[in-house]
Amino acid sequence: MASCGQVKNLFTVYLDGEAGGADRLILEQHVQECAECRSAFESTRATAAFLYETFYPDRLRKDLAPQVMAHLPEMDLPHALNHALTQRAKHPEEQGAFGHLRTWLPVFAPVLVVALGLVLWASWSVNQPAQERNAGMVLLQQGVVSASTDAKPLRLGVHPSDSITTPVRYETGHDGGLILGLDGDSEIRVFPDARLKVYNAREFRLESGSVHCSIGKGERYFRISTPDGLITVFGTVFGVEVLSDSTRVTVVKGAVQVENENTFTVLEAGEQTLVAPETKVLAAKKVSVSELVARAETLRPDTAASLAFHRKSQGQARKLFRAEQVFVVETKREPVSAIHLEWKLDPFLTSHAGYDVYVSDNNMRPLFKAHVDSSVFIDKSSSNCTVAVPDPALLAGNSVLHISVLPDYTTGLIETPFTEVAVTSP
Amino acid sequence: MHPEDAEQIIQCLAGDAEAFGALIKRYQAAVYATAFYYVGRYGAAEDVSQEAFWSAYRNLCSLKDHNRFGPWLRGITTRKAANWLRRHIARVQQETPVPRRWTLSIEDARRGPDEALRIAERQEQLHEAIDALPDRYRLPVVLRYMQELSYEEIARFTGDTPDEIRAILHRALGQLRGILAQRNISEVDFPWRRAGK
Repeated sequence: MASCGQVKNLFTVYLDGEAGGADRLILEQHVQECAECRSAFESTRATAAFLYETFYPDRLRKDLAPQVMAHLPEMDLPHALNHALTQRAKHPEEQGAFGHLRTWLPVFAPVLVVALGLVLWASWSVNQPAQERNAGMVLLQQGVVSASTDAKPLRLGVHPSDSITTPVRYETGHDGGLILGLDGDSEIRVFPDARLKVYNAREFRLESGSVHCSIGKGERYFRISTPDGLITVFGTVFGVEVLSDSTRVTVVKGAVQVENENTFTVLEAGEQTLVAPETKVLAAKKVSVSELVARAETLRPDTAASLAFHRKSQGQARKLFRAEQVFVVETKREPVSAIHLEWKLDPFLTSHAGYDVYVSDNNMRPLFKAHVDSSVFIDKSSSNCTVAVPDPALLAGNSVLHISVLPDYTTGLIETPFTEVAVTSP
Repeated sequence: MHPEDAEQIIQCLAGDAEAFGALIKRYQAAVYATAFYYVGRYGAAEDVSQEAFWSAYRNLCSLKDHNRFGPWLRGITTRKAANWLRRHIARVQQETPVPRRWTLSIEDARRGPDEALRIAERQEQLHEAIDALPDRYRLPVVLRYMQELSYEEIARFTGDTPDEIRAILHRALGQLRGILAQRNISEVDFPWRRAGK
């Protein structure tokens, strides 16, 4: 006979209808004979019945198949893309070559930015005025005219409609003549036996010979240097002639400022001056300009080139402003020993223009000039400088001083905004 | 596993949607009981069951082992139920669960309203006792006593072997009796009326 323990193990299986024929027989027989097991079996049966009864009301009685089948969705097809996506989601570590690249992107990005910055910095030219660029067009060539550059010293022929790629040097022969149309509505007539070097559309150096200039108003002053001095123009017509020991400047229209190392003057229309390196005082004398104009008329621009040049320059909108800043300082007729300049500091820029300081009396008669080197502006530790007055007695007796500052673009194009100009007496 | 599962799954994948009907018929009781076990008291068992079957059909091609359709379907059902609870958590938390449906048989009525209420209370206590069972025991108990599934059917759905189910149910019933005795709840003496197959 089976033990009570063995039989009790069969209770659930029997009640669940899962017992085999032999087990069923053993249990039924044992329960009839053993009162204890009979009681336990009845109790288990009651619990099972209690469970069935309790769950009975919640039982699924209907067939779910019709309603499920009625709204069966589209089956997802195992196409390649889906599979790839699933695989990537399941195995994120198994990425391709680009996956690794993506992982390192946060590192690459800043490195790339720094590298680009370095490339940009390296390729940024500090001497922008010396950069090769198109400054205008040759409007007339007659006789022997040649062009050369520092990079290509070989002298080349010049023809109308050639573009002027600066820096470039032009030379005219005994019978040569040349008209240069420079951007900013300027025309330079170059007479025979002249040599000039064009730096850009607003700056050239006349080394020898003579030129007749008609300068349009531009966003920068126009500057001509000669071996003897410097001519600064804001828009005017004038002639420049380099003689053996001096330069003659004659103004037809408007006004130009002529200077050398020591002094400066402003010429009005119909005035002429001779400037030599040692000249201390620039005297202006009245002259007739008709001869000069007549000489300029001997050179007439090539029609086709002139048309092309003016058509091209028409589209360029010109912004007019003057780089010159003028300050008026009251001195109450006392002697002045120094001039203080203060400006707004820019902490990052480095290619500053140097400044020329021009001091005139209350009748705008020139008194003296000084130069402030660009290094003063590049030094970011201070935002002011002092310019010594060569002869304090020279400035005594003036109630006011006109102090104008003008950038000198040879060292850089960055202009400095001056905030205050003051003077001190000894 | 059911011998016909794999065959019907292949038919489904080949485009014969009707073959899925056979799978629904075979597993709907288990799926419904599982859903009921999680969301039954909120009346959502049927909705969750439907969603589970739809999801199973949609993703049928991602089933790798066609012989383990049952456990795979059980996983889907569990997730669908969990999703349902998550989606309705705000509402569910504020609502009093729907009282379990009690059908009062004629015998119950003869016993009088007091007796019927006493039975209802005890049944509620039985549900609490089932909730106190270990996780692994609960689903087989619900599948067995709610839908009267055979050990074979339960095993096919849970992924256990029939012998494991047999042991689980034996121990579960013993523990339930222990819990009920501990709480001094006597089984209501129902007449033996186990529904036949």
